[in-house]
Amino acid sequence: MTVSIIVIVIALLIVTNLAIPNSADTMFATSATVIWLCILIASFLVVMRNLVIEYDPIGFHGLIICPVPRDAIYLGKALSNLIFLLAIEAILFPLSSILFNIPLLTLTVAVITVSATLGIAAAGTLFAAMSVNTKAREIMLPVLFFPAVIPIALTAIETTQHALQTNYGSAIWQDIGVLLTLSIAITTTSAILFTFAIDE
Amino acid sequence: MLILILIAMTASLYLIFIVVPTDVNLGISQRIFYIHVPLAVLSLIPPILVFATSMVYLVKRSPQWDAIAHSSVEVGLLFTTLALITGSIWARPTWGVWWTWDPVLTTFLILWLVYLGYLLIRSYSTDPDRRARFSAIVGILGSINALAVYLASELWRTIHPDKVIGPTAQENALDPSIQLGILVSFIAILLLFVYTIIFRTKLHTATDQIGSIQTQLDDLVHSIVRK
Repeated sequence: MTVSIIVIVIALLIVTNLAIPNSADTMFATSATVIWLCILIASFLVVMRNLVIEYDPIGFHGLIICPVPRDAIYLGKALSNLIFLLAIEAILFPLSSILFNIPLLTLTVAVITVSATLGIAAAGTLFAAMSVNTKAREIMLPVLFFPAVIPIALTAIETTQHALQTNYGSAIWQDIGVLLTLSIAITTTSAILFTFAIDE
Repeated sequence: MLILILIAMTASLYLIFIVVPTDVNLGISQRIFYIHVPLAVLSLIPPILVFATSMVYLVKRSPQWDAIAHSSVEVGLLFTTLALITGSIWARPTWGVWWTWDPVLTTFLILWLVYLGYLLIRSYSTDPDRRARFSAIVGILGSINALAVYLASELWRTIHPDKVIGPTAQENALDPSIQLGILVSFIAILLLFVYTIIFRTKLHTATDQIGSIQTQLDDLVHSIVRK
């Protein structure tokens, strides 16, 4: 699974490299968009994998009948998705930094990445659990997942672009604050709503 | 109420096309603002309604709240679609493009996608209780997206025109006839908004009741057949 996601992400980087211009300002903007596009696709694949596992009757219903709080089930699933996504990003960012020749390995970029990935993993975990219980689960997951995470992705792209600009200064922490607020709002709401989603 | 809407709509059209002056800079295309602005403003009410009614539904599990949330999304989808179309018609002669990736436009498009997702999950869920629960969850998260719509227009760069009406507008920014035109259009579209939500809520409540009676009848028929 990890290998296939990495292959897809590298293929995306190769295909989209033609869109990246040579001038510094535009290059930062386009590179940030390409990287977050890769993360979005990778997140969807990770969440889709959740759905495949949960489609197995023993998988999902086995979890429900476990004598543990529903919150713990959600926390476990969301954490595993988050760690998996962070592991992929740990490969993607150094690779992109080399391929696009941009300074991605900084503290601010790391904070932005963790903040955005938290919200994406949280929303994805909730929607995978919901989609598995609908008629057209493979259709429903992208329809629910992408609109929910686009605001986080857009904010992350905007913030990453600012973080790459050396003259942006300390205003970057205000942008990170907006991203973190949005991400925490989605994570908290998803955690609360998960109990209702599997309330069979 | 329909007669009231008809009167308000007629008065609004009369004001838009006969009374209000043509804008010096934007020309005749500015007249679509009398429709576009109320549609865009009212598109932001359904997320609040959906959030509140979905929360109440998840706590109380009363189908009435689900019916209101469902109607709000349907009306929200209609109003968002119309706001996007009328905005696009105005943008072509003014900005020279049908569409631009302005944060306000982008976030309205996201809101439109959320509404679509809400209606799709309803149509793909067979069990009524699960359908209501899932759509309430999508509705609540969609409302957080609406918060992003607000944040986007306030915090990010936008090429949308400055506000000339409402609490943050400058004083005397508009001609009195234009103010009257906007006010009457807003009232007409608000009445249509309220009427459509009430109408659709009654329809969904009736559909739920028929579904419930149908289930009870099926159970009764099965028990008779078994005997």
